[in-house]
Amino acid sequence: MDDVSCEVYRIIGETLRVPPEELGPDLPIRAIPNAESIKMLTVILKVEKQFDIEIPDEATFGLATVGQFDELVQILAAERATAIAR
Amino acid sequence: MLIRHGVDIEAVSEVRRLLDLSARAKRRVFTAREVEDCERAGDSDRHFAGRFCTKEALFKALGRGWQGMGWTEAEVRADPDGAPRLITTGRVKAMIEALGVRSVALSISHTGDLAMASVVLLCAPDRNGRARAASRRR
Repeated sequence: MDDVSCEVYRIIGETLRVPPEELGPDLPIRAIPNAESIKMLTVILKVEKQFDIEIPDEATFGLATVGQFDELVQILAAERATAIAR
Repeated sequence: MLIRHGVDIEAVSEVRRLLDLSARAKRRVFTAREVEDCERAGDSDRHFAGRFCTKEALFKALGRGWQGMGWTEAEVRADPDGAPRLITTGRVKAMIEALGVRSVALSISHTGDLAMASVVLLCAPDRNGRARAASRRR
């Protein structure tokens, strides 16, 4: 797991109070008991701050698993890094 | 007419913590007008929380969760007499139109550290008398 994923999983685990051993890429977000909208918005805002990215509302449509959320952050963080490097 | 209903309740303090997370948090969830209205009113935390509940209640009434919904595409404005009303734009407005919504009723309430909102949508049925489906976006 790379540094970005480690941070994403750490933020999800801390915010939604999920033990690290229960978090995996195939875990459905809806299956997490604390994953109501205000908690997920908290996750999103923390991730945005951590990686200096913006996650568009529409990009969260259809995200079913923790792994899919991680992949979205990976893409946006990579785009941000590329933009900074230019 | 068919009725769709959504309700939400939140702790005012939790919404406050959400908005304190980053400089961008407020404009991530609320329109510029909502931020201005809430900050001008006394006890802005309660007003932010009530508006948050309204957006969430609307998303539930639309049959959707938080995912993919434009938080700033649903705006709460106060009438001159203080009654709240919903203004929608963009994709949220398109969903409301697709569902045949003819009227929106909104009620917001607070007590202690709690805020809640109830949103009722009166929808015209399709020509077969059935509820219309919200269009999928993307």
